[in-house]
Amino acid sequence: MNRPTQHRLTFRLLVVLTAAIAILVPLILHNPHQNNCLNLSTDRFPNLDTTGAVLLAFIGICLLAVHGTSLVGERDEFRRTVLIQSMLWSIGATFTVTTILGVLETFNKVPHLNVLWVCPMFTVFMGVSRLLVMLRYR
Amino acid sequence: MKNRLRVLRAERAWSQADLAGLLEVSRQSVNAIETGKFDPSLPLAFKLARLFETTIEAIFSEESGA
Repeated sequence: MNRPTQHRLTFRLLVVLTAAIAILVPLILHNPHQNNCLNLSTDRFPNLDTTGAVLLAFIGICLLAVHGTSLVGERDEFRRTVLIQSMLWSIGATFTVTTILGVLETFNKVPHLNVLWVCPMFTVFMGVSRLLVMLRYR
Repeated sequence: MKNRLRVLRAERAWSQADLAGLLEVSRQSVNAIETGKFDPSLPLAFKLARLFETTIEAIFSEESGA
């Protein structure tokens, strides 16, 4: 067996991320406060209308759906184990980072991070943890 | 779990990729099983036993009992 599931996952991620960029770029370009576009909010994105907001939310859901379907579609038990372990590690890492940020934000030590970034954060952690889990089995 | 997969495979002059193809799994799966880092499921263990025309016990053994 080659890597059809992995290729499908990569392709789907590329599609979703391209769509996210296609939606985000116009929003950022039309933002009058471009010096701080990392913390998306309605204040910084006055042009973020309902359609843009719904599209961004949909992209986030798609991102999670891509991970879910790749897990369901994986027929190779070893690869499925690697995927499950990577997901567990990335869920743990996301919880840890967001909890720490939440505590620090409570005491005004860090600026507010929009919840929108949790989904991309999870995806990045998925990539890193998958690499580490695969290294463990080498 | 210890296993004799590498020996059995060598006896038949199969590469990891050959075995993976016969088992319909990835080559990484075969490698992980061979090195003892991943224990296969019961259906896969039966498939291995059938392929090598032997029993599961003849392929796999407990670390301490070997």
